[in-house]
Amino acid sequence: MGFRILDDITCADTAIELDGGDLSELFTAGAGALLAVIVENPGAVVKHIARSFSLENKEIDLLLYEFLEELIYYKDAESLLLIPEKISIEHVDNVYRLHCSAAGDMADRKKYSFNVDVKAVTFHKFNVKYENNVWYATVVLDV
Amino acid sequence: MKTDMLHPVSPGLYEIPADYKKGMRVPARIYADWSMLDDMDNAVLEQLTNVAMLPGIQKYALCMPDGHSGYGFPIGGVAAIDPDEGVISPGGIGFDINCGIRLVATNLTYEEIKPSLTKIVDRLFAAVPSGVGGKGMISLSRSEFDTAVREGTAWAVKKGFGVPADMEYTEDSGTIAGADPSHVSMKAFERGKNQIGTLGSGNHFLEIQVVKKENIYDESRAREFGIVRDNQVFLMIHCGSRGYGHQIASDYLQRFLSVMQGKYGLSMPDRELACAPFRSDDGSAYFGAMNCAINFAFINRQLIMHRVREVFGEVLRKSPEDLGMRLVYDVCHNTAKLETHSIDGRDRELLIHRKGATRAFPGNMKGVPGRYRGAGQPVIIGGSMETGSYLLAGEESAADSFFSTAHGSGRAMSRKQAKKQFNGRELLRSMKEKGIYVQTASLAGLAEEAGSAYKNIDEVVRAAECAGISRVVAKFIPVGNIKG
Repeated sequence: MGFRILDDITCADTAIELDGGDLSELFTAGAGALLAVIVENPGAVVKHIARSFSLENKEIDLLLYEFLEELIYYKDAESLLLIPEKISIEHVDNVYRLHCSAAGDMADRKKYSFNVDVKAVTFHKFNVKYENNVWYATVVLDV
Repeated sequence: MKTDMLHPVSPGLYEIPADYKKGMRVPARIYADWSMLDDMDNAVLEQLTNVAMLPGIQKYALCMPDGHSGYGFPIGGVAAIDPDEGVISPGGIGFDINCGIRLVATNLTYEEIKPSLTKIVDRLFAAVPSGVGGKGMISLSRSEFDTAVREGTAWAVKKGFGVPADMEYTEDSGTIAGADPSHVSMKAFERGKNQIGTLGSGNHFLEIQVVKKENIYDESRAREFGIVRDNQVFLMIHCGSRGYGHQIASDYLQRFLSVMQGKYGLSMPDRELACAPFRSDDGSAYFGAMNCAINFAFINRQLIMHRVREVFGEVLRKSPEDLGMRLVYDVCHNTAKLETHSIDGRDRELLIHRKGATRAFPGNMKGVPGRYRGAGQPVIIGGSMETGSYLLAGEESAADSFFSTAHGSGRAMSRKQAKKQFNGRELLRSMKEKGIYVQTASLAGLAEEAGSAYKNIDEVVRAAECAGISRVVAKFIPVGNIKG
């Protein structure tokens, strides 16, 4: 369970494929993939600044879209590279509700080597599905 | 790309008829030569024929010679929409609203800056924030920020980041009308407030270039644009509206998806073609917000140019005026603008979506600076950091493209492929051997931008000239580069 960076979906940008045994794993994989696209050494990112946020949406794919957009927002607005520590997602009254506790570090060139900045999550080939007890997603990031 | 449905129209122009796919309202047209068509991916065909389905589209869905697949629109896509009957689509503009490029002339020759080149590049790298987390040159309150994005370059010049002539030589004088910050989210402001005057990353760059006598193809126009000596030094700045524009695009893409079908009865085959009627609350809100991002990007490039002038002045111990540091022109790549064009002999106001395409007005059109009335609007085509860039001019023969042309060389290789094939450190070394000194915020990012990862820019500009959508004036060779 995790993520792969795909080679054959987009020429100018970056596509990622995610999977997880449950939604929390899928979203955690999404955050990991996003960080790996931006940072060359994502495992080195120190988790010493904490943030938490909540999101809700009737559609699970749009919730994933908003979740990744939220992480991009923190990267630009606060220069923060965030790693989720706990993601809870519940589906109540036809609405998916997410709460994420995350921690990370400032995007500091002296501490980390960067690949490329991510501008946005796109709907190009965007897909979330549940098959054989596994959640899958494909996401193209605009870089 | 599959080519069996393409019919030649004229040299360098091919058409896909409107009956190719159900839902197309107009034919699709691609400006390219046959070998370039062969190299284009099939997704360009799919996306361009989807664009032809947009309500209100006039004449043709167009793709420029540097076209490649994007989201919704192909990169290089152009669509003219009737603003009264048609829609506005963020997917026809792109996430990096008013990503654009400017060219700055100097009166220096390469020989004069060669001894100081390393120092200049190092100082520029320190002075112009780039890469992930690069902090902007200024920090503004929301109210001052909103004033800035309403006024564009005029605000920057008023604050001392330039001279009045900079406005004249920027598309729309550096201030697009109709910017309305009340339609911009707090998130967009927060993403953009610390990024004014930053280069960003990816294919954005700040480059020192040289024009050699043998690379001047139209001497008369070259002179009018300020190319007056062999080995003359120029600066090129390529960047956009940073997180501010990206957030505005994302906000309205989601908003349009939530209302387009239920509220407006609109349906498109691709979510990235989400749209709303231009004359609607949703359409006008996006137009007002997008125009703020256009002005943000003008300010961004203006502040970077201001820093470039300062650095050249400090290192060479002369004022920017004495160094002849004049803005040749600033062009936009990703916009939707209201322009007047002739359709079947009648002048009409149209909403021209250009995504990865450049406006290319001939000299007699409104909006072209007086100095360029004879030559036409300068069109700046940014190439890869290894192969060079071009200056072209708008032509009267480009009416069918709504006076639009290419914007760059277009990628030929995916970023992952490029990273597998090239090593950033090795690339730095080989470019230095070729006389190009590079400073970068990301060695991995540098590998993704290797020259071989891009199409042949010479072919792109020749195709544009062959099709009559712009005329080649000169080629610029890189000697120093700052990569985000």
